[in-house]
Amino acid sequence: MKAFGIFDEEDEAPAVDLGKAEEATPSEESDKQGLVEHAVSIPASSLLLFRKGRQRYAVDVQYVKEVHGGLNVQKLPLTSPYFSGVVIVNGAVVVVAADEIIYSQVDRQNNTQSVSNDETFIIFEIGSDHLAIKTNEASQVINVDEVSIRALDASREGSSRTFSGITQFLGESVLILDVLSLVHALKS
Amino acid sequence: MTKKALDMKVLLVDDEPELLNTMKMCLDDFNVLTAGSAEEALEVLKHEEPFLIVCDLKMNGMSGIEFCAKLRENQVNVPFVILTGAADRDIAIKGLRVGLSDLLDKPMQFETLLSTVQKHYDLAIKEKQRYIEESRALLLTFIEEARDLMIDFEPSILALEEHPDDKAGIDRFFRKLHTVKGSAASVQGGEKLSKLAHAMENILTLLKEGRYTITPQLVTHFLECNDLIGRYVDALEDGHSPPDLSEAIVVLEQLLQNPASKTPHPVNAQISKAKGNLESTPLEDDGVLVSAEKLDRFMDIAGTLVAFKNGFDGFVRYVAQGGQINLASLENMNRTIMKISDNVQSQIIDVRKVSLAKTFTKFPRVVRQAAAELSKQIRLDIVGQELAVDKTIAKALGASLIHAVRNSCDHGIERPDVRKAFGKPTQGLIQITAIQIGKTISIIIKDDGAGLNRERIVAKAIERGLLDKSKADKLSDEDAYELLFLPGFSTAEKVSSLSGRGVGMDVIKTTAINLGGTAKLTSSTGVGMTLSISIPILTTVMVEKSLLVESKDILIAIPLTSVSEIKPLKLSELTLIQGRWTIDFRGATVDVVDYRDVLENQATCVGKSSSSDGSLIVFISHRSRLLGLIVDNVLDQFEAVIRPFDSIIGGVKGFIGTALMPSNELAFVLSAEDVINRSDKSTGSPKEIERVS
Repeated sequence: MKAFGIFDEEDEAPAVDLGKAEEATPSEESDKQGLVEHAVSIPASSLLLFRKGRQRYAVDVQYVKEVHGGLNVQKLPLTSPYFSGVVIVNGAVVVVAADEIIYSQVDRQNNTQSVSNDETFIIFEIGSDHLAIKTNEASQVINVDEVSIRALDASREGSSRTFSGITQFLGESVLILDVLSLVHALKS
Repeated sequence: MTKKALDMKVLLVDDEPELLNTMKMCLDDFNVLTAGSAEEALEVLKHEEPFLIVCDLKMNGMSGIEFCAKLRENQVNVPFVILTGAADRDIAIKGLRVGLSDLLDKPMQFETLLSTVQKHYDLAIKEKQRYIEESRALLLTFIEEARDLMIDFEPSILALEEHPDDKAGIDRFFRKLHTVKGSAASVQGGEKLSKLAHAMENILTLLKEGRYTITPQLVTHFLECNDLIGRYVDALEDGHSPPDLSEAIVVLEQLLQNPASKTPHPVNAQISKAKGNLESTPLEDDGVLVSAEKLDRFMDIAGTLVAFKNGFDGFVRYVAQGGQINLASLENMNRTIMKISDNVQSQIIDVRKVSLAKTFTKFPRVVRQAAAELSKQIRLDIVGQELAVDKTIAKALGASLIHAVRNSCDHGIERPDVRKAFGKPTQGLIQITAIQIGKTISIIIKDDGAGLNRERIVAKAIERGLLDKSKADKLSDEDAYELLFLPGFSTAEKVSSLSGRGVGMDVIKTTAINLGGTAKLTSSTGVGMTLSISIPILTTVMVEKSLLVESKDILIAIPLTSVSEIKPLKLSELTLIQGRWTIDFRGATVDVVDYRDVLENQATCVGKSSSSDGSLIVFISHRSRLLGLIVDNVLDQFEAVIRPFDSIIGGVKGFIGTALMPSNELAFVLSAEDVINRSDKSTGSPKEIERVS
């Protein structure tokens, strides 16, 4: 995972209450209502940062198997709200989770304002299951300071299902994707 | 690991305490036992088994040589080293005849003592390892043999009840039990198992002689004993503490003394206990038993492959040295490798097959227990258990069908008085049939009970908000019964130990779907219920010669076994009948559909999008049913290596898996059976029809 690049500790911005931030970015603004005061404990020691549109996200690196660019998403024989198709990674067929099941409607609207047209796939390995998500960039790994991660409240429509918390990185809010919940949502 | 950590001890014997103490200090690395005389040493040896005895020659009382001779007389063969001064060396040498291992000179050279003890320690360790390996090998042989023999134990026990006069059957059971008993006695830790088998044998002996009457209590206890034997064998294999057999042996002894007496536990309690054991049987991957004959066939293939490899290697060298490439040779090599590949594939499929008999073994007992618990009379008939299926299927079916059997016992079969009132035989019947039709395995579980109560199912679905009241009347029986497969859905008023939680049918359906198959319920009130499960033969990796077609930008592989014919789509040949487009094909009227419309339950709109001229109809068939599938293009024929969908995506309606093309594109492998079934059920309204001229 170090290939993604480890950030120096001094690069990490201290966790702040977004409600007190002087200048919030548009995505931060949208996150304000989703914040509560409770810290979230996640077992990860490192997070892979990725970007979807203008929003930064992160995911526990222990589930990340590979990061790939230039994969061709092939359609499934049926339209599915859960999967946007499949990709072939090293000869294996991996399903790609649809944005609709990962991100809330608000996030998806923000995500359309992409800073990059590149498609980068994060391939997760969860036990014997494999799953891919589509991002615009995934290149950095940061160490986790657990107290900096805060819970999302239920009012944050849709997100609480697949995101376990929110943190700060270089002044930007970063939503933490909960891979296990995502897999559970897809399977159920 | 230090030498002291192992239970390996050296016994030092000398009547001079100072020397004894010095030797002990010298051997500080070892576990040391000491004795001041041969007599004392003999006492120590009653409790200890040292790997070496180091003993002074001259001692008060028994001498070292006399001590050694006594040990050898008593078949104690521990290596024995004598300490002797130069004056007595001749005596000591003569003593070698009684079985001394070594002589150590006095005055004592401690380095020599240390190296001698170390030498014997190393030898003892090697011997111990050899013993452990031999014991383990013996144990594994016993476990394999016992498991093989035990397959028949449960059916044999149940047969005692059904055919108490079948002396030949009792004899067969006795012989197998006797073999297990004998083998158990010969392995470490197997003595108690042997005693249990012996106690069972005692009763079987009386049964054979007609001096004992079989009772339900005896059968139940024998079943419990069988469970205990299984768990004991498992524990021996895993190196865990085996279960306590003493209580079971006491019960057998009581039963032996007084055949008419009750067992110490009420029958129902014993049934519950036995059932608990059944339910907790883990679904471990216990591998596949491969016969030597099948392995020989693999050896043959390996030989052919090596021969081919050698030939190919020579060919490559020949070409590398400027030799001409001969097309005929290449074609010949291609044919050979294809033949080897086919052979490997078919042999692997064969090896993975196991008989369903093992899967069905537990059902007679389940039915017996349920019948006893519910005060019902139920007979179980199993047909086709000799059918060999892929191990994955056998295992999954074993775990899920038990729910269907229990449901039939609990909800299907009526109590004897109720059956009598309806003019039925008091004994109900559950029939399990396993058959293979083409590349599909069908498991049919049928009972002659009360059948499903459609009204109650629908009412429950409405009550739970699963069904709109206005749609309830229009629901077909099949769709109403389908509700029973929903997770947590049950019409049972109360949960019993057998069923009623609404889990079992869900498990059955999920298992069938996960195996790429289907599960369906049919019923007739008062006559009985039938559960039909269809599973395609292989669900791991299979190779299927397939037709590659393109439809709506998706590549679809249709197994050639399902393809009847391909013809161009001519709109003029199509007729709209009751909202479905049809075509005359070989004298029959066949529906013509687009796969996606079928799977999304919509009527196919011929003339728009995909269904334009230039398209083709691929006629697919399953059993005797046909369906015309509209495709944009037929691309190729190829050998599809089919992989099932992974657990995240689960099943994709109408498809059994994926096949990766050499171009790295993905084709979805169509299930003709599923598409035809769905097409039959399709209720979509016809869309506006636009014919293309």
